[in-house]
Amino acid sequence: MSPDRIDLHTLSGVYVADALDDDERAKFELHLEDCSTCRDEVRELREAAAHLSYDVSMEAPASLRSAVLSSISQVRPLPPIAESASEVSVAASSGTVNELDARRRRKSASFVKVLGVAAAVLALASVTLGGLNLNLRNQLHESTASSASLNGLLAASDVRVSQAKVTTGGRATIVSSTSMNDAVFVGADLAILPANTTYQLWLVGSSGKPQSVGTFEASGSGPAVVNVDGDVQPHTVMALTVEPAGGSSAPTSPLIMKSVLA
Amino acid sequence: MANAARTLYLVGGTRPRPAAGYDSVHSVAKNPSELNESEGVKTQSAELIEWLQRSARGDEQAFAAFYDATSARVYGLVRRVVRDPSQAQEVAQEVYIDLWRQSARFDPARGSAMSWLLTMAHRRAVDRVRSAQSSTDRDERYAASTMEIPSDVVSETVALKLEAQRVRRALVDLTEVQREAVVLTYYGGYSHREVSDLLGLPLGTVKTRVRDGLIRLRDAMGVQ
Repeated sequence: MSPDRIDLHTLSGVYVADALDDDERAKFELHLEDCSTCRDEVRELREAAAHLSYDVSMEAPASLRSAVLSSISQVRPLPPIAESASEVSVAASSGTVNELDARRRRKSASFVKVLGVAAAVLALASVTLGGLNLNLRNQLHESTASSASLNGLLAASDVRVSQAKVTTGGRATIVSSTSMNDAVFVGADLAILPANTTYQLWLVGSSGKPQSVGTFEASGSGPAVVNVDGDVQPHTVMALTVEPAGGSSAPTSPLIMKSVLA
Repeated sequence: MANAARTLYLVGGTRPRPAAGYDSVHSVAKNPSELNESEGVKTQSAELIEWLQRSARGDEQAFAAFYDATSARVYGLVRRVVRDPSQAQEVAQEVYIDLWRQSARFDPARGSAMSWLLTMAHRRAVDRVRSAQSSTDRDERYAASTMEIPSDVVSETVALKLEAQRVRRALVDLTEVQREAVVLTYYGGYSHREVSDLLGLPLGTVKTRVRDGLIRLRDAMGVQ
């Protein structure tokens, strides 16, 4: 049962209860941009649903409080979202990527660089990616430079776009194509890590052994974009961890994001 | 399965209680105006906004005050959805760190601070149970969601108890099928497809019941 236009209005309840699938949620969020009635209803139902927490409230462990308060001192609050286009372009910049030590790199899988994304690509993304375009557009709208790789990927017949939460904050959008043997990782609103640690991206193929793609930092003022050139096969999993500065040869901490590429 | 699900709306109140108790509570709450949010809660919501705005400027003490005022509801909700205490703690920690980062982006015109926070918390809790999900643990989660949370860990704060009573009274105004749909999706973290499978109902029926249930709750709680 795919929600048609008329049906969309009835999705407010299951949307507020987080009971929609990802693609349905994306469609409904697009609908919300146009429908003030649904926006109002969602706001009201969220207030109502918030009351449900009273009935299950429970004293939180003291260790939660100390963990939260010690973590925030290392995290910078984001600035307010810029209102005008000129402010956006001033704020635009991409994440920076450190290439891993060459001897650890595999010859085809680890070409890593920072990419910006052209407005033309975003327009193409809007056409190509259906319900997912909104989020992708939001994640990329601050970037200005061009990306031949993403452009090519979006034109591939088997292009796949997946999204995943990063458990430490922020979200990942991954555009991939097995026919092009290529993928692009876009991390938005990623937490700024302490100086002695770094994000490290991994591909896990049929061998089950994670292969490093490379390390990168979150800039706090734009998406981190990482190009993954090669070894994108069916069932390849992309994963993200936080590693000591310089990266590790194998993951040493829990995955904070994973997504099946194709 | 369907029989087990049938008992769930009571579990939404964290523990089943005798029908007589429900009836007597219900009779107290005929007049919707009695259900309006207490003055204390309204005052607090202004405080929450101020603490959030100070947090956006890096004020860690304001954030600690915000945490202290909200953590029982956030942790309780996450725990209710996720069930596992250590995972619930992880999720709640992520929620608060994200809140700290996003504090400058809170817009009072789009809803209360508490609603914003709980929306973030609920979404993350649901993401956590879904990402760890296989058909096996779905069944375990289903079984677990029929079990009650021991009363000794339920918050005993008086203000919270009063508000919890208001919610229970409001829930009484939902039909049984609406309550069931709201409880399975909101507290249970099930997708509408899963609820449709669990209860053997068309998807459209599940959507309607959840929406109608939340609308009744909204009206009973005097949400503006």
